Amino acid sequence: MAWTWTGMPNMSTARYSCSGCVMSDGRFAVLGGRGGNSDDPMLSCEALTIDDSIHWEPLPPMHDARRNFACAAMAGCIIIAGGIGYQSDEAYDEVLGRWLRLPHDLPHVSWLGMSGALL
Amino acid sequence: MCTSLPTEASLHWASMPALVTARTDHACCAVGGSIAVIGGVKRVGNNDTTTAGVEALTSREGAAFVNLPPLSCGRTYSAAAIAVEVSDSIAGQVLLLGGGNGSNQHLSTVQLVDLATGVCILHPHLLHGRVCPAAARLLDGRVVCAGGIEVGYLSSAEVLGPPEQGA
Repeated sequence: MAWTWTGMPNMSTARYSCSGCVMSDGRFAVLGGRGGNSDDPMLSCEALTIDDSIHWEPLPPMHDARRNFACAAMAGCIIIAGGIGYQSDEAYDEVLGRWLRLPHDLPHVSWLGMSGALL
Repeated sequence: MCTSLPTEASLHWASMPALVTARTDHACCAVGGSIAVIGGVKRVGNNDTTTAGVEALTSREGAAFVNLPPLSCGRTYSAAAIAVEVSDSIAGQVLLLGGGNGSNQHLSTVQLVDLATGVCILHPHLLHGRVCPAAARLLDGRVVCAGGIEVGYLSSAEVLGPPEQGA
């Protein structure tokens, strides 16, 4: 049987040029982007749980308000880097529930954004 | 520090091979040990042009990005790409969700792209047109897609899965 799309609850805000990844606990995290009331880049993040109860809940905000940035989840961490105008990078520790700044910035700043993938 | 990360002292950025074609707003994902870069906007002369071009980098030592056949479904930018790991495809397959086509249309299309040939097979449409969405594959194999731009900015989300699981 062909797969079909099913609507989920709405996020707390509209978002575009955000990043998404699946955390080790299976939740779908959506980070930053634009599309809120002011359309400025956002710090806020949220996660979708899909089990008996389907709902979004907030995640702690990033340190930098990023859009068009690289994002990858691996083994209990979400790694994010760059975005338009940012050279910095951060890691979200799923156990600590905290964003940590990483020690080395990207070598370049981009004004056009970037994407990433985990090899 | 995140337990799965190396110690801070050994964390560093290393440069990687350059793309064949400089581009922005492309879709990107890892598939079958390669990184696939799909569509986007490239500069031709003084003009920005949406491209159907695809390129990939294998994880082989010393590998460079190489051009793959372009998308049979045409130009696309700011789509989301989700890897489809299948054993009978040489270069792997990618599910391309939404995006724009460079003609001011917000696509709700879902294309299964065979990277070895560029052939796109249309899958069930998203419930919304979505340019610049976030998407990922859930641990059970279903695909989730959220946000993006349609007529306005979207807060909605949707999941692609087998009908019996489509709760």
